Amino acid sequence: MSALLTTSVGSFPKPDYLQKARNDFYRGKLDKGKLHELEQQATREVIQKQEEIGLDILVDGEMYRGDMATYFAEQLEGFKISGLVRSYGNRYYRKPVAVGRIRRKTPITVSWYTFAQSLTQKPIKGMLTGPYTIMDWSFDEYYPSRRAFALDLAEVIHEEAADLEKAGAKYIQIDEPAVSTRPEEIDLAIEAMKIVTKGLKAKTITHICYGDFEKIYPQMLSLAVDQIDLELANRDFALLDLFKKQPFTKEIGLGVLDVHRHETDSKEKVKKGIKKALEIFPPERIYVDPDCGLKTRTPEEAFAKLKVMVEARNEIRLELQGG
Amino acid sequence: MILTTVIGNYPKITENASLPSIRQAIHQHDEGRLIDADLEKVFQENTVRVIREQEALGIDIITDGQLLWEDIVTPLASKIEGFKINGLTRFFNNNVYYRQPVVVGKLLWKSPITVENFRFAKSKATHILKAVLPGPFTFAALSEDTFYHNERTLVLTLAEILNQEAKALEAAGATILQFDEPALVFHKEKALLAIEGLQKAMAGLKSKKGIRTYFGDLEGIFDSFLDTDMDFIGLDFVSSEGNRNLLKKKKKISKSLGAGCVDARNTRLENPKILKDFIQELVEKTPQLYVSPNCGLEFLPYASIAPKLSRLVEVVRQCNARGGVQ
Repeated sequence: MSALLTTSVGSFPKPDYLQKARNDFYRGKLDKGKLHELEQQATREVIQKQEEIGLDILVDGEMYRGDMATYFAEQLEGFKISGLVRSYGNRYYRKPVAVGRIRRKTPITVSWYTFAQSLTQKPIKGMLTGPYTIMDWSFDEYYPSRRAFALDLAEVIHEEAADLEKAGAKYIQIDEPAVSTRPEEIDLAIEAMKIVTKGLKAKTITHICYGDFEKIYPQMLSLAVDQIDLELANRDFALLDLFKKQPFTKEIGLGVLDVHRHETDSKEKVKKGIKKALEIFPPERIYVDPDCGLKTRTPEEAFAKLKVMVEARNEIRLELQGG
Repeated sequence: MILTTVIGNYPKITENASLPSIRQAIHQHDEGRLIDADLEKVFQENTVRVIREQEALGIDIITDGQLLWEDIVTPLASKIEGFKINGLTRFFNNNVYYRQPVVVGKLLWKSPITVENFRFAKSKATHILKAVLPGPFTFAALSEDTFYHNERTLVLTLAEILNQEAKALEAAGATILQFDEPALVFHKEKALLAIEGLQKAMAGLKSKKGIRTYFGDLEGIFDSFLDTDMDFIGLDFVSSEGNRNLLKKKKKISKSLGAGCVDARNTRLENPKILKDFIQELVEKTPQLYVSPNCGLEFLPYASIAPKLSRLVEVVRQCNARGGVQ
């Protein structure tokens, strides 16, 4: 049955040994080859875990990525990486800085996609960060405008998406979490996404979060993707009421797990959310997943949450079939 | 004479090891390896550093860098009775987060919150040190209210509290009091409520008092601020075109103008000629011009601060030399 397929938003928590290895690598105490081996080991484990839990569409877990914008910038021509800036509390990160024309030298994520896909029969979803978000989360010392910057990034992300498709990806997700923060720029995000997904035959998805979705709805339905993935659990699925008033014309990625809480979500709450969505969408247009990436949870928390999600989905499927 | 200033915060860490790092000290303190007094000492040493740096770069009116402040509201909210501090929320349209204060009971100001640090910084400063507080409207906008269930009541209650804090700062020697109201640019329809709150927060103050707004413009509501008791109004001329448009239409305004002309959210260095032309356009329009970055400096990595502030100071000095001492 290909209704109510389950998946995840992309990132999984890194196991302690990998976290330690990354720290050692940055301090020059571990070589790149050894780090890569451990990243592969962690990828194997996270694929196996997703299969055990029974997810339908898997991800590689992003064991080899730090920040979702900086990771891409580090491998693109035209970017350098800034000194530390604070993101909250005592947390700091390095931001990309555009200092020249952005170009892609070689494929960025394709070898990880291929490696992950070689480990499983289930489809692996290609995971990219969208041009609008990379632009918004970078400094820019080169481009005359935010638009020029975003559109060059769009070409680069398009090349990457096309290569993922060539490598066999049936699902390609282009995350645009920043889209909801500047409603006045939604048209730019739409223009850029059109470039990213042009000519792709794979199913395309975008994930948006943090948002005042009310301010970009229904305009966000013009994003050139097949599916929009949204966080719904952390607001008790209130957003679905908006879609009752104004039809949601795409498939929905239905966030049913609050990823910012340590506690495992209750199966009843997850079921309630799916049922509420079923009042609006036919089951084959709903993809069930967590609100956002799981990398901020512990591995135990993340897997426990996903397990509840799959169980809830299974029970609802039975109810649907039982009539 | 045009004066230079900054908005408020300053990068907390330098990435060079000349002084104990605030980041490391907080980390050690969290793990129980550093006692309160030693953490305090690291903050003080770095506050002195930040004061010296601003003075050496030629900033006329400085701040203490708000090194103890995680964001613009938490330091106050965590000391005001009736607040609890909740999870992370996005800080306006930036990829930066703050812990959202939640109003869970009657809000009560018990004693001065920022005064002790202000006193310390003032004792170290040779340039004018201004005191910075969140404006009541922005304080309310960044909080979640589960108690008053009425925005006006919350804004006015916070205004009362901020007024007490401002008076305590004044008693400690503050001569300039700045209230930050970035939330205004996102909620222009609530300008009158914001002004009502600001009037209350500024009531009875003898210092120079005013607001700074950033991340957007006051186009359409600017004139309402000219009819208030505040001495200065601060505008962000970088984030959008609105403030340039509104100033173009004015020959002269009655208040001092804070002009955010250097982009503190991007590392690109300003073109000095363009900057100079713009400042000269503004200087004719106001009795006193304060030129500054458009918002707090903490969005920038430390290495960008000196080039940005030097550029600002250098251009303002050229403008002053050309205009003669007014």
